[in-house]
Amino acid sequence: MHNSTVNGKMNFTTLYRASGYLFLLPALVLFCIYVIYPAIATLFLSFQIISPFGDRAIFVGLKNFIDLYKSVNYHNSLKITGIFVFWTVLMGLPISLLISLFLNTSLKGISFFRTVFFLPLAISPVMAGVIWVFLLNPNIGLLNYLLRVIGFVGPNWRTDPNWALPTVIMVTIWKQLGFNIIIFLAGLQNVPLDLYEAASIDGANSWKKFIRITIPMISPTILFLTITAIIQSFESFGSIDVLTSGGPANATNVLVYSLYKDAFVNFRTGYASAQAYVIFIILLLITMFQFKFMGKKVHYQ
Amino acid sequence: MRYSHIKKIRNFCNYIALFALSSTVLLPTLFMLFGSFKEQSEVTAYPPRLLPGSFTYLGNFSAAWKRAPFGLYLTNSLIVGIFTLLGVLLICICAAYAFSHIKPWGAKYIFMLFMSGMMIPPQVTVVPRYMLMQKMGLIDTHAAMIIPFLAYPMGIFLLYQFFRTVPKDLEEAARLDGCGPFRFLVSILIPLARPSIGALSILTFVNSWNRYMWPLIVTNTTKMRTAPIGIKMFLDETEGSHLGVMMAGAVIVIAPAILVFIIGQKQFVKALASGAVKG
Amino acid sequence: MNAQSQKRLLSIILVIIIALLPSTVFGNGKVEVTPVVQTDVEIVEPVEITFWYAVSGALGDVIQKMVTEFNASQDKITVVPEYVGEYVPALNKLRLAIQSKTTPNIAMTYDAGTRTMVDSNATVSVDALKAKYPSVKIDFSDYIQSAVNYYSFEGEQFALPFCLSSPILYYNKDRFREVGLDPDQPPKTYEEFLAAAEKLTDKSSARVKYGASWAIRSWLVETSVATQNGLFVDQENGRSGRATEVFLTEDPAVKFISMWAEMAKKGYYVSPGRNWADARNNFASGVSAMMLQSTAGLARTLADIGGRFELGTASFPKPAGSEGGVVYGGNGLWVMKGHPAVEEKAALMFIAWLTQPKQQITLSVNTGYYPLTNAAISELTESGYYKENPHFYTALEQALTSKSTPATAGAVIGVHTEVRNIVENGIEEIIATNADVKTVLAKQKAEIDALLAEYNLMFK
Repeated sequence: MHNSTVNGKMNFTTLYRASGYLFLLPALVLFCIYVIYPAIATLFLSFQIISPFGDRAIFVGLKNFIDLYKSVNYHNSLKITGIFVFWTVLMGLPISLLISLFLNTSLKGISFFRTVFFLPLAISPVMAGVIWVFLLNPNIGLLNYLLRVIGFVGPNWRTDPNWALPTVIMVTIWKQLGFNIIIFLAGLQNVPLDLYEAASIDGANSWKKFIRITIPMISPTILFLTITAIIQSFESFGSIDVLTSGGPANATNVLVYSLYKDAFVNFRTGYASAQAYVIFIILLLITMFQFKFMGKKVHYQ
Repeated sequence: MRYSHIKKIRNFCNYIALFALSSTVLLPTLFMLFGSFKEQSEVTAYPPRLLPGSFTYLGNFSAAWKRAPFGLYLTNSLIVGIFTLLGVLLICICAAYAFSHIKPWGAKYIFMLFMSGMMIPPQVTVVPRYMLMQKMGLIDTHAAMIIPFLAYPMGIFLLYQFFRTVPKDLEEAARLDGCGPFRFLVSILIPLARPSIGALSILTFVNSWNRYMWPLIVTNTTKMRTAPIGIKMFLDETEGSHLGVMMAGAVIVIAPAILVFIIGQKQFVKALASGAVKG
Repeated sequence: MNAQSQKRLLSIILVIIIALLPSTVFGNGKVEVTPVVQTDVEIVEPVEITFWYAVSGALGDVIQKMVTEFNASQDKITVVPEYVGEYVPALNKLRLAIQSKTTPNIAMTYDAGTRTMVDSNATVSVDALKAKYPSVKIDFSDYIQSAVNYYSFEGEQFALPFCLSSPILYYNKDRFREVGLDPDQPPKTYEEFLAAAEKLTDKSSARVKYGASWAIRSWLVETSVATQNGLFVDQENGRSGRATEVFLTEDPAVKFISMWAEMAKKGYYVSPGRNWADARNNFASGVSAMMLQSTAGLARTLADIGGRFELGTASFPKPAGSEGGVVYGGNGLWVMKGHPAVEEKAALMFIAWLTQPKQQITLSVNTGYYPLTNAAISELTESGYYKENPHFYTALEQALTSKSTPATAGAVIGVHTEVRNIVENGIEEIIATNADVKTVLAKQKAEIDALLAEYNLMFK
């Protein structure tokens, strides 16, 4: 690498920046083949009606999208997804942060506790769903039993349309804890300890330290987690499939589940592809908004 | 004297909080763990009991192991998991570095491209991806379960967020010392980023381990199937009639992922202990 | 010439002779000039065929066992069975396989996939196979005709009816005795059913005992409509043409669903969701005393009850004076296009083997699915099997007494799965909100009709 001379430095920068493409190349190539190409193919599919086994297809322009726009079921799905994502993220992230704060100490045996909270992540969504199905059984499940002991009658968590959505939200938060905690921990561990010490010397209490130091220092992490939590909740599928299968009476038929059903159960490929694009656009808008809005408040060194 | 008292009380409170929180989180998992040692009548007993009659009842495990080739499933999941992990680390570290430090022209747009990829619901790219795999002759191979996931936008994003926090002057100082971009990446940036890389490793491995829909679609034969498929098929079979066996199967399948975390977590902490203190 | 080529030449000569035989032996003076197009082949080399099946548990084991037996019984054909997931994932795999031209030789598909399979043009019908390979001895004349009819269209049989079942009424005889009902007089009409459920409901303790609990499935609605000799969809249940309208707001469907809604409203029925297994758990654990479910779950239900109480089975209830019969659920086997002739023939031979009484009996006895040939049924009757296991006869009797009409042939719809989902959504809504049955059904009907219209667009 050349340096020192003015001209040399110019050449170096150019070479340097060009080398960036080398680093990007593998990711880019794989991405184009395995993500971009299928996504574009799907876009074409969304403008067609295709027979279940794919042998016939007719071009129908925007009919699928118009049908979605008119569909009462789809409006319902939009509403349900909104509620689901909102509560999952709004309750899930603070709870995870709280737990991470406790885990960020150097108590003895802290690694045991860290493993404990990681467990929901290690369990696949399907398994999580299965375990909870059993725990939530209205008759012989543990949860209703405990409620009965305190004197409450527990509802039919999964089959009562009023409780199905809260149940799914609860299980999803539980499931996402592991992921959120790992990331929060990594972020917390990066906060230099001397900052806290300096603040202590200045007489700050824990709460002040938290607000003035911790939060700003982990703001990149918070941004990251908010975005990913929203996206993950939007795409949350496995546990819903096992717990409620989108029901009862469409009470938990989030956008992704509706898409799955149309694509893989009803074989309405065109219609499902249109739904995929709607989800994509929604997520795109949300993420762009987040980057703009929260990006300003994020503190990098 | 006073200070150590306060410290003790604080520690005590921390422990209490941790215990309380962890039991809520732990309960379902414990239930499954203990359930694998229960006989069928114990599982459906009312009032429900948490603890099994004895921890020596291994009938469920042997039944589960016999009913499905879990050894095979675990091996497949392991192969796919490890190679996915290595591939992801390689590719995402390089890409994140390019975005955070090198910043070639148009990087902003390429970055947005990657981020948009994160938002494409996986269910939908499945059919065209399958066709691609089939054209390449990769159906029913490990490669088919590894390659599509190597350009992991979430991974790039995560590392990018971290790499950005490394001050520019560090790199310039290194450059003045005659250190090229590649060496900088390898000898300085990566060690600094160990916590994030550790987190990414755990996530990648676990995600790969738990992946269900895609491996189901690209594998046709039992000998290629991975653990989640095995457990789901197992679930379909037992259908609630042999919950103990099913939970035993689930324990068999979850154990490796947890093991990886326990190991990875120690590294994680080690790296942090010796980690770079900035400022 | 080596031994291989000699053998080949010999078989070709043999085939030509056999082909010419009819025209030489049965000449009767008239010389037959029509050339016989010979498509039959002889299986010289051992051939391997793949069989994708979509059931697991005890049934999956039975199938594996049967395949092993078949492979051992001869040395020309090896069937390679693969479990590819339950019905819906299996159909997905098949769909992708068709698009990528990597299909198995034989695929198992559930009842709701029938029209889709026919419309896909990706299968070779059983009748076509019979015509192509006349040397294979296979005969469906002894089959229960309605079973064959289910998988036939416009006179052509497309698939092998393999696991066929119908819903029956399961009830807890001990509970019947406890509340003063006669355990040998199960309810037959909707009124009796409702009255029994009321008696069997006991809310005196924290552990409520319900009269009945059964899965929310459209199949039960379709059955109820057929028992009243009603059509589920138009075009003779989708068999004389593609369905354009669902009869969800007609009397038969409304009667059944109204009874269902009333039972739920009054608290005699508790919903287990859409899962058959959950309904079975409710029944076997004593939470409910009556259940409407497929006979295919009979063996499993008996196992789950484990002798805790005495099981009773009876025909599916129907309104007094109804003249109809039951429809079939389950699965059928389809031979896929695009494979060499020797593999097609091998597939046909495997199917022929499956039609034998012994195989029918093995299947039925271990699960609860019907034996489908008279020969099998006679054998079981003569051996006293049905005397010892009367429950296994309940559904069969129901089927044997069903007349063969378009109603009992069962509906075939290209988008059957989705139609069922919409019907089930409607029932869930009715049960959860106590909404007016007719209003909700009209809404669902509108949705289904639009769906049918969209599907039919592709075939204009």
